[in-house]
Amino acid sequence: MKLLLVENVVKKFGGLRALDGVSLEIDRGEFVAVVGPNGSGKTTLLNVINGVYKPDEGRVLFEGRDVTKLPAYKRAALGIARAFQVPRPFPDLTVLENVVVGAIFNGGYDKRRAFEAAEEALRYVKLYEKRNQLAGKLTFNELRLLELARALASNPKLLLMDEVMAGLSPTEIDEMVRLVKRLAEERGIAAISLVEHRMRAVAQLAHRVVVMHQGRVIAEGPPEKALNDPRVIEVYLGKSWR
Amino acid sequence: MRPYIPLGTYLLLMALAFVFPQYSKLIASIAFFMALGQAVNIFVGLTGYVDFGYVAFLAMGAYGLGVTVYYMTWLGILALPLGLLLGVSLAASLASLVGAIALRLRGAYFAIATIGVNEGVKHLIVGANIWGGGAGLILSSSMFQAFGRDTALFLANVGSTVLILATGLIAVVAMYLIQASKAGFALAAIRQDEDAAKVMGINPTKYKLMAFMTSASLSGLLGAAYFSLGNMQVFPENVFFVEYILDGLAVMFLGGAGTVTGPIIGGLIYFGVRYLVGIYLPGLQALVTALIVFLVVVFMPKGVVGTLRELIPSLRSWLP
Amino acid sequence: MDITPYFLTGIIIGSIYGLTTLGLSLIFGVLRVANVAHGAFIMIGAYIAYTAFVALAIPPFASSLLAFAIGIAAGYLVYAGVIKRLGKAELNILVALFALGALLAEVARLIWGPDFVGYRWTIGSVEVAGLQIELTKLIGAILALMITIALELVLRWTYFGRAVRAVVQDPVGAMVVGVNVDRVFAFSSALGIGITTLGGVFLTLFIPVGINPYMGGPYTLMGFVIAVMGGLGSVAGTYVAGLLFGVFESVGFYLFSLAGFAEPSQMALFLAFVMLLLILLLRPTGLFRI
Repeated sequence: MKLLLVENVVKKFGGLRALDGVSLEIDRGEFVAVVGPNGSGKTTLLNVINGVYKPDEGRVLFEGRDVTKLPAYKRAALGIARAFQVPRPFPDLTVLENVVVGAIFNGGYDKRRAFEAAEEALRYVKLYEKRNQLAGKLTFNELRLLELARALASNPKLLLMDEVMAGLSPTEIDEMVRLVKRLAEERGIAAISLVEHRMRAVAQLAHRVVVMHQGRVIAEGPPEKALNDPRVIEVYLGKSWR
Repeated sequence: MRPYIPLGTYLLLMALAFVFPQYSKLIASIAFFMALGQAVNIFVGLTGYVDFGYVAFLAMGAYGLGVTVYYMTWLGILALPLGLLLGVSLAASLASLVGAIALRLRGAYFAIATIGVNEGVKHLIVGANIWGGGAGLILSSSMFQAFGRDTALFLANVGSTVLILATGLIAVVAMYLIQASKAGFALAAIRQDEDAAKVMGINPTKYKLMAFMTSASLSGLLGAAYFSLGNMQVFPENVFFVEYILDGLAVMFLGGAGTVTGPIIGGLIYFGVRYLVGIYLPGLQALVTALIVFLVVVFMPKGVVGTLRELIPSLRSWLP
Repeated sequence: MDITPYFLTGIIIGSIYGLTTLGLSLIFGVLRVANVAHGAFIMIGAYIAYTAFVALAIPPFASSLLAFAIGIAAGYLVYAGVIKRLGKAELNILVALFALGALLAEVARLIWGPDFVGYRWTIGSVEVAGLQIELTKLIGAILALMITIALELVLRWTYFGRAVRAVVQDPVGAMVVGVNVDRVFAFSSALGIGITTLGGVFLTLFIPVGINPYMGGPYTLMGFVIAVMGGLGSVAGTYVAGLLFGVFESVGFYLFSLAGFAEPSQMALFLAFVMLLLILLLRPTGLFRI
């Protein structure tokens, strides 16, 4: 059984078909990069998977269960976590408390276990030293790590990441990608990461790449194969993507 | 956190009310502000939402006890616990009704929705002429009949004071329990960023409603203790008096919104200021109240406790 | 049972209700701030009209200009001193405005005393559909309509108006294309409260003995019912909702007294409050789109 199954999803905004019959399969422990230019439907796809939007057609199955109509906070409880592109911490809570909130409500832990999970997650992303600082005082890169720790501590099976690499330096991107891959390999957490900028650097490290354009999947497969697909090159032609 | 200061204050004042019954009314007026601030704090301080129709909960409590004593005098002394229970239930029911509708709304929309609740309920009681209508309920003779004259007078004097203090005490315990549980995390998250809280798997309406109903129930108890038991009467013009929400907000913001000790310190300062104004500038209490709320909210939004804690972080555990 | 006179009376007072609510709606639409001190500014306008008429023999249509000017100054102060200062602290803004409303009422009590006051200004009456209507009320209602149209035109055709509408639709976008959002906020707050105090002057034509320091409360409630009904931020919608509310109140009063309620006007207010809750829940963007 696949972890996540997206079947022929259509999402319309007025006359615009933001998703025009998208299908996708994700296995446990798989790190998939979804790439595509701005407006290709990547973010809409993520929003359909975690329940912010309900699709107009098609189904979303998680662990074999039809979750198409489930609200976002209930899907979160099933193990779909999301790390946002622009981190939204609770500024007056400490770093640790921020992560604990995710562990209690999305992870379903009791308070004691939540603190343990939160500390472990903070160690994992190397933010443990700053656990007693107020989240409002972190740097941008640290906020990204906090966002990741929050998602991690909620004990997810599937981690959805918006363009979390944007705005990071090449070394930071490298660290972040390694971190996510380690998660996938050590804990069997599947991850879907949206990539628009520095596409090649990120996508090459993924297990699989899905290329989207105008609401459709136009190529899919191992990084080298998908990224060198003639249709993909056509879409990106003229863009400095190397 | 060390809850000695808030718990100790209420217990000490209770003891004083028993030992010096002649000062009981004075203690009651201080305690009323503290307990009101304490109850308002559980909703406003913890959620960051403000309910301008809040006074209706005091009124529901007052009517609950008032109606029981007035119409079911034959219950005897049982009218007291049953009436308190009815008062608290009425307040909680009104809160669940208003909350189920209005707490789906965000921030300013919630405030708008609640702005007419107090007047609305008052207009219903006066307009439809129920529960004594515009004339209100005078309870003294019913209370003499139900409880016996001496007991009734003792209850109105010392009994109501102790009950007001008990309301404050229960509020402290409730606040402590909420903050120590996962609801505390949920409310902190909702207060700071409700959208982000939703994504973290928190159902905001559920926790806001919980805080709202707790706060309203405590105000119901307070209204019953202060108006019906303490003053032996329930007048709509009195129990729906919009000024009380300003009192509650003044006490809460003066002390420090969202803190456990804040309403105690805020209540003391607030009572002191009003007392002095009453002596030196009679008739200006309402003006001073509004001025205090305005100035504190604009210029010292963290209140005394919040500011102290910021200056001396080691006070944090002593001033929860 | 003929309700035509009640309907007519409702339309005329409704025009004033519409006028007094424009400012509340404008401020919410532009600044996203619920001005819970709204009624207090109506009260200020009413006292200006009263004082001008009784002490200086200035008729209300003239003193409304003075009230407008004072309201504009007050609106600017409210923006600079409270709303801008507190920025994102929505709870604090709401509580500060609520306290400000109470404070203004207490100051008014110091100046004018706690009693109900008023004045009567008559210049004759006309008969419309068998109903005697005082000319002052009729002129007031027509002027209210004209002021509403003027405001709509200002918002539609001037630079300031376009900037305001841009901010209403998308504050960030407006900032990006070069609109000075801070100035739009300040203007809107000033204009909004200016119209409110002006409306308070007009209102006195209808409440010959109803001016009181604490008169603001019900008007705040009523203002929100009307503004929410009309769609917060919509001028035409607000005015039409004002008309509807006037008719509803007038006819409702009549029906409640027929039904034998002891205090029909109180029941009408209770229903207004129930309406507010229902509209907020079912159609938070207003009953109609104009």
